[in-house]
Amino acid sequence: MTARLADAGALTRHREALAAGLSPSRGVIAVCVGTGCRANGALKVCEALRAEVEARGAAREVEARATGCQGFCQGGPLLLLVPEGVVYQHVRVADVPEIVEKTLLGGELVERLLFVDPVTDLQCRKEEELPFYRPQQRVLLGASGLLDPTSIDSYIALGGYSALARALEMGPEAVLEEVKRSGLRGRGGAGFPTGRKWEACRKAEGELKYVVCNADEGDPGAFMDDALLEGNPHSVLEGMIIGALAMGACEGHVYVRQEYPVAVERITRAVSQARELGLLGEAILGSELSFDLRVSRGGGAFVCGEASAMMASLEGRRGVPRRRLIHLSERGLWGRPTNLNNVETWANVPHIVLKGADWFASIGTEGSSGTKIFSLVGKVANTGLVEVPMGTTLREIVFGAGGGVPDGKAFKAVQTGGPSGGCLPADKLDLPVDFDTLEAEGSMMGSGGMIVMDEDTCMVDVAKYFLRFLASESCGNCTSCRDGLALLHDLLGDITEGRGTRATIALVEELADTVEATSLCALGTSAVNPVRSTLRYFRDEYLAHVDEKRCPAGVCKALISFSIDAERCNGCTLCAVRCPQDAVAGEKKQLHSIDQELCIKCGICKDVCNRDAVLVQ
Amino acid sequence: MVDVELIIDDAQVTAAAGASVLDAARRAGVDIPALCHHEAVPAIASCRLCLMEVRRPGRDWVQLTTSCDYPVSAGLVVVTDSPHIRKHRAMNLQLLLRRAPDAPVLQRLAAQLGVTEPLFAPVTGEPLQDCILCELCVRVCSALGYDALAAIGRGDHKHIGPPFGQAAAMDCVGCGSCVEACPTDCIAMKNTATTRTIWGRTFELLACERCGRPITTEALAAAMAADKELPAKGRELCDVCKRRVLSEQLASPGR
Amino acid sequence: MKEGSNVSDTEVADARRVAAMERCPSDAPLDSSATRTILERYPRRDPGDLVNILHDLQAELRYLPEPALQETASYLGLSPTQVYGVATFYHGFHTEPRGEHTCTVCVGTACHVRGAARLLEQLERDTGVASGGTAADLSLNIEEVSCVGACAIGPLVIVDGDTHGHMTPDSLSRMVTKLLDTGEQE
Repeated sequence: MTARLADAGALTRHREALAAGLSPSRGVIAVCVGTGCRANGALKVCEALRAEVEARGAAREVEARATGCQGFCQGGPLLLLVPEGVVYQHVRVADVPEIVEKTLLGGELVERLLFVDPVTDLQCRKEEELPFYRPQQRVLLGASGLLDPTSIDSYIALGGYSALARALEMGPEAVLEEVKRSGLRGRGGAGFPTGRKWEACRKAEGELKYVVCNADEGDPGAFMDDALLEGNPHSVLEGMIIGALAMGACEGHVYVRQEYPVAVERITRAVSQARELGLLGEAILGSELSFDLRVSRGGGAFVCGEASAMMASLEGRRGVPRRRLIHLSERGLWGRPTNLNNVETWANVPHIVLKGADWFASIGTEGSSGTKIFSLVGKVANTGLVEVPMGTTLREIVFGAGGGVPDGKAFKAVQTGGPSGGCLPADKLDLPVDFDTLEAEGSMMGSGGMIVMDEDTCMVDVAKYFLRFLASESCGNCTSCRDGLALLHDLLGDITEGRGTRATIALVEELADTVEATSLCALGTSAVNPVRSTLRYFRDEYLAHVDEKRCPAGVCKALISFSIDAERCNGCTLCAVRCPQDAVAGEKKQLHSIDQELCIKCGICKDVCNRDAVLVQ
Repeated sequence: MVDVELIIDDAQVTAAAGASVLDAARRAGVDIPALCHHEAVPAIASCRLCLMEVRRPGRDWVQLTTSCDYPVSAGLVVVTDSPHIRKHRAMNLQLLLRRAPDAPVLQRLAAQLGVTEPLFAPVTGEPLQDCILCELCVRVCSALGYDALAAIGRGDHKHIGPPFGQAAAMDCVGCGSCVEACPTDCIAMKNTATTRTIWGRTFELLACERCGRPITTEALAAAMAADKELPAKGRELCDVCKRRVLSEQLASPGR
Repeated sequence: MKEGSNVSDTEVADARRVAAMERCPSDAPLDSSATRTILERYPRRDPGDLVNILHDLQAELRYLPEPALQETASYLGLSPTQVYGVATFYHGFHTEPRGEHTCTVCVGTACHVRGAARLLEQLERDTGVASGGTAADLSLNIEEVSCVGACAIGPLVIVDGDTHGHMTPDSLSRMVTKLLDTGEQE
């Protein structure tokens, strides 16, 4: 075990020793074991690779390394071969012997594991050839593909903690200036200028100050912060230590939502590793900075992503937000000056310190500098994490990196900003994504969740979905939010179940006004954005539901019926066998039919039919 | 602490520093409805009725917000009544009426605001009927040091009651402060000549030594006796008899 | 408890714990030594550790029975009301006994758009257990979660910690039947 690093010189020497210990010709197979790939069997693939490499006696030449999320979740389980830069997708355990034999030892490609560009029909070998990676600038996520996230040495070897050494040289004021000049804005969604926030905390009165990392990431469909914490936890830690230096904080907290157990484990391990090396604790790298931090888990409450509610939770109380006429930078956790930033915000800090504010400001747009990670999910061909410069358009992300909508379906909308955001239709696709542009159109960039919807998505159902989520996450303090959201959900239920009228829509709009105008925190005030934006851009769908009792997308159960297409049915009886209600009648090889009285519209018949013979109208 | 000058409804008002705009307004004779407010406990701004429009000095925008949790500061310009305020106050009232359709305080407010028809059907199946989740009972009980009532759950499933879903509130001393604080009178308390039943428990009532009338619960008297901050003597007599004894003492010869 | 009282804080806490144990369902873990061991991992007795403590307790005891919460309250110097209020606020904590298997449907937006609601309905139909509930025979819990970060394979269901992607109501139905019959997945 390495001894505590006494100063910056010791850190440099340690890094050099690590580099010297590596064989220069040693290749690495980076196996993505981020959450998505892990759920898809990537751990088994990694184990198989290790075993195969070992069995071939090739362990000195090749290392199979489990890494964090490499971004291209759709292609998981994913392998990146270093230094060749080749990407293999959909790798299964059965492919392992061939990969080792043919590629690692024989220098040839296993072509069937290569991604094929659907437009050009060409095989893509290297990462940069994949359309998914082309618009990207992977400042933050790039290292995740190479690092062993369970090893601090892996991070140091790649240059980790050199930003901290540099920051200690610069001193707190110079670091603060650099962060201010960079134009970095909060990546959690609010987009507040980070440098200004830090400055307010630095200037606040009080000996005891705190820095907090918001890793609650409650927006459903967003997993950028999870990927950063799992794949490169030390980058977040390093950012926080630099922040503590700049602001004069002595204690920090990382608050991770409990639904991310791997992230909790990784950051907890990273903290204890950093402590062992003296990068946390007293006299960090021999400087005057003493700083330590604790990892806390959330209890399962979206509202705790709100800064004051998070602090209530850290104080052992119910996560109820409070009004903040005095900023948390002056009076936050335990009544003391506290600076709270999002995971991605903290992860940008070491880069800004090392490469400078000018470099950071040169990426992105005037008002929104740097890159942003988006989780591109839903009805999109290439689901995954996309990191692009601010100002990249929705089209470049969804159709460029994302590969558009699969199965020949038509694009309908893209939802951004999580439950606080809105849905934007096709004619907004050329808008640049940054902190300010989407708000004017009724949505917002938010923390980075980007959900693609197609012609089979009912926008009224989407609004109802978000209201259900928010109503269940309301802390319950304010009458307007607590009861208003529950009622808005009920009213949308009336519309989707065929009981709605024009008056229902009018009441929805009126009630939404009060929920927005009179709720205490942003959960309540922004909860109306999904319903407002869908009413703005997809009013015709709402009108179809109330005037014609029809769901154009074929989703709302009360308004659709299932029937069997006489042209296509071949009487295979599969649907009749699997129907949970025994609602399908028909003889073998004869046309089957669905009893509308018994049908509960579960959709199983449509799932199992091999002939696409079930119609939904 | 220095007093603060602000403007409420075009009138100059002087308020104590640290007071809320709601308190300052009420002391100046301007009533702002607020059901979840009590001067003795911290404000949580739950009912959302105490809305005001406020402009801070040097800013040109007006904010619609609650007044019970907004501290006064020099130069604030406050408006307590406007069509905008009434519209949103009326909608929040509608939401409260759904929980306590017959509560007199809500009926009075409805009349004031011209709300004649409920927009929403009353809730059903709530564990505590007519409770508007203002948490005054919880805050008052906590301020008194008993903390016998909990806010349980969250969102519109939140409800008030003894912790652990107990049928009887174990830390309750039967003082009845929660009943006094409750704006909709939804807490059941039954007094007989010798007992009080509340929150699933029956307490013995302490009787006045002189006249025999019930003063308070024995449990509360014991708690107060244990608290050395409060004087030991004088708790065996009801308020009426205390005054009688004192006046007898004052009237007796030799004083 | 106020000074000068002839009943100490410890005695009050003990009395509460005994009363709590009497109220507990008969299959609840009554052994307080497991609770004690966990509490002592937090020697600072900082109320700020409450949520972390509740996680550790639940991991050990499978849910949060009243005696464990009463003991936590007295350990941290908090009232039972405060601890219970926190335990019931967060959806990650359960104050009622839980089932042996847990089936969690992801209802994050991406999975919703890919049909997660139908999965949940199918599950409720097959098991008779409502989302968020536990089967009467304590065999199974049905839960929802809003996004676990594996959106590429949605809609997905997590059964006893193992993630299954690209689920359909039909494949889910078959898997649950097998789980309840044999205790195995796949």
